[in-house]
Amino acid sequence: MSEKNNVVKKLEVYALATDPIHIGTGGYNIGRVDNTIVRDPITNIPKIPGSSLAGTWRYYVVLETLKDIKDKQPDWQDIKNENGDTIGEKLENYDWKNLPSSDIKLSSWKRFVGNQIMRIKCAGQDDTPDKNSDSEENTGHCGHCIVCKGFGFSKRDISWQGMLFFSDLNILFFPVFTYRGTKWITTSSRLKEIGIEEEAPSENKIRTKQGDEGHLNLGWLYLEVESRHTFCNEIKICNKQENISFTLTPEDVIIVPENLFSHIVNSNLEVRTSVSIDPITGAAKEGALFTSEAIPRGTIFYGEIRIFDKKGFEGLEEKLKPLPKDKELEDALKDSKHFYETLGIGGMTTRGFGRLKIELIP
Amino acid sequence: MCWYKLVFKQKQPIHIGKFEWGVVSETEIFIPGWTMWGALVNAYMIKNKAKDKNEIQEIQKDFETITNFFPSFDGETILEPKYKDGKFYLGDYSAEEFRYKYVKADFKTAVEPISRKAKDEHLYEFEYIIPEFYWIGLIKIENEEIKNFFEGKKPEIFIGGDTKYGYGLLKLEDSKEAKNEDLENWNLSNDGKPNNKTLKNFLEFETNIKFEGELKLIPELDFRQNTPVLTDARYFVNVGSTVDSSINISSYKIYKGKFIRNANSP
Repeated sequence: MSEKNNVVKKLEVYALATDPIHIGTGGYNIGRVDNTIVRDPITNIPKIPGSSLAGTWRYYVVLETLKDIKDKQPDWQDIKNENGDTIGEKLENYDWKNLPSSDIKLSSWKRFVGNQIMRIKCAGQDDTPDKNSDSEENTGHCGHCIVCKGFGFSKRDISWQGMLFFSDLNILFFPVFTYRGTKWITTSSRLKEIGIEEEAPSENKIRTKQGDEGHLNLGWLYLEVESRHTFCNEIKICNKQENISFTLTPEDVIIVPENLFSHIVNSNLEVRTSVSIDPITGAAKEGALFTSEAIPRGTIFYGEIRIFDKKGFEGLEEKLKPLPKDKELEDALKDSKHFYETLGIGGMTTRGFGRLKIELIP
Repeated sequence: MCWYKLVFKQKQPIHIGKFEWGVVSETEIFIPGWTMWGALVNAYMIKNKAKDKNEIQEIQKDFETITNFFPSFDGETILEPKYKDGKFYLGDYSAEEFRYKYVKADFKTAVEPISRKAKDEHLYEFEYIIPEFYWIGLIKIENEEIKNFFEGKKPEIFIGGDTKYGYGLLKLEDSKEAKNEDLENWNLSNDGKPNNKTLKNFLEFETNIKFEGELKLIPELDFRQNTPVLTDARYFVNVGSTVDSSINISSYKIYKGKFIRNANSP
């Protein structure tokens, strides 16, 4: 669960898939599906890798920042003419000098002094890692804004790992069809990760809220219901202001044995078949049929983000000053997560895949 | 001022950069001392802010007398490095068997942020060791504050590559004073000199050394800028090799997993 000491702040990440999610393996396939998705090598359960989460979030923080500050950023020349030995110092001294007072309401993280030279290219991979961080004609990562300082950058003269560490998002609750409607399966070890102690069922048996169904089908698997599970509270995945984002009632949840979880998940993934259409004839193109698998809509994921306060590193290198505060990075993540609800994550996002609803809980 | 045995539990997959074959980033199958040194200095500095560059250099020095770290299933006995029939082994596993069983790979690509499509020619394969192990090694501690760092709230460290994306997390499971048999087992004397057995740390090569095993060119790189700067490169006798007993051990001392001749000390 969340923890905060003076150097590391942990944020819990809950994500609800509002579309099927497809994080591909680059066309690497074995078996019946052409476009397979990333899985954990040990459990074989699909996941959203930390690198996919970090890459998209980096882009979304840039988008969120630039929409408010793009026309307020000073010219490079103005920064260069400012007093100071390093670009960092010049940026601190300039400090949004000509920002109209009406814009003072900009949130603190957007006013981070490094953002004065943030560019869209601060997202994604750096185009010009061979240039110095204070190079004027540089078109890659600027090396100064909250994104470069928070997510890391690498230039000819200095590399910085960043302050944000992302874990993978693992499946916490997975929706399956039963004759009693859709239920979400989980395991006792997964519940333990979010602080719920619940006994695991015996081999090949499951536990439900009622516990008296006799048998229940989870997709094609027909399993005996062993007994009731004991947690009675709704699982509310919500932010601090009790603004509930999504809720599962105890009736929605079924606890399955650890060894069956992977089988049930992999048997109930969405597999979508697509084909190219010949525009002239309107018929399917020969040899163009392909299948893609995806984690289905309704899946709930869990992971964590750690924010490291690396003030201790400022002494290492003058060029690293100033570093953003952990609260500023946390706000940057919170204020930009809404992009996951529109632009999404992973592949085929233009074709009904990829949207997530994310909650960050300190 | 004594040797400590550190036992880390691997919590996430780890990638210890070894070699790049085209688009494949291969992982090493044990943790070299210099990699562990970097991770420990990093973790210590996050917790204990340094005042200036001098203090940072002092901290870096405090962690220098450290061995390589090897995998263990039970947190007690390591998979010993050795050469058998000309092949490198960890315990009973040849390097190939170990990789087959415990090393997996992910395929990844960079994405163009604006078009959000996969970036051309950026697909790469990234190997990692799955989290099935404890990692054990020794460190000599001469500073009370460093001792407290290990004995207080058990530190978590991030090691190797892609640590921002769900790789590299190790949690200290146990740290205790190393006994004489531990030092013996790691082929070390109390003052950090090698004894003449199968090596668990690299040994700087000299033309008069007779050994059975392999020779490696080991560069030490400074990663603080985009193009890493070479700070040191020498030939070493690889871990697992057996060294002839005629070697004059008094002239060597351990430094970040490598026995270096005193005259060549950094």
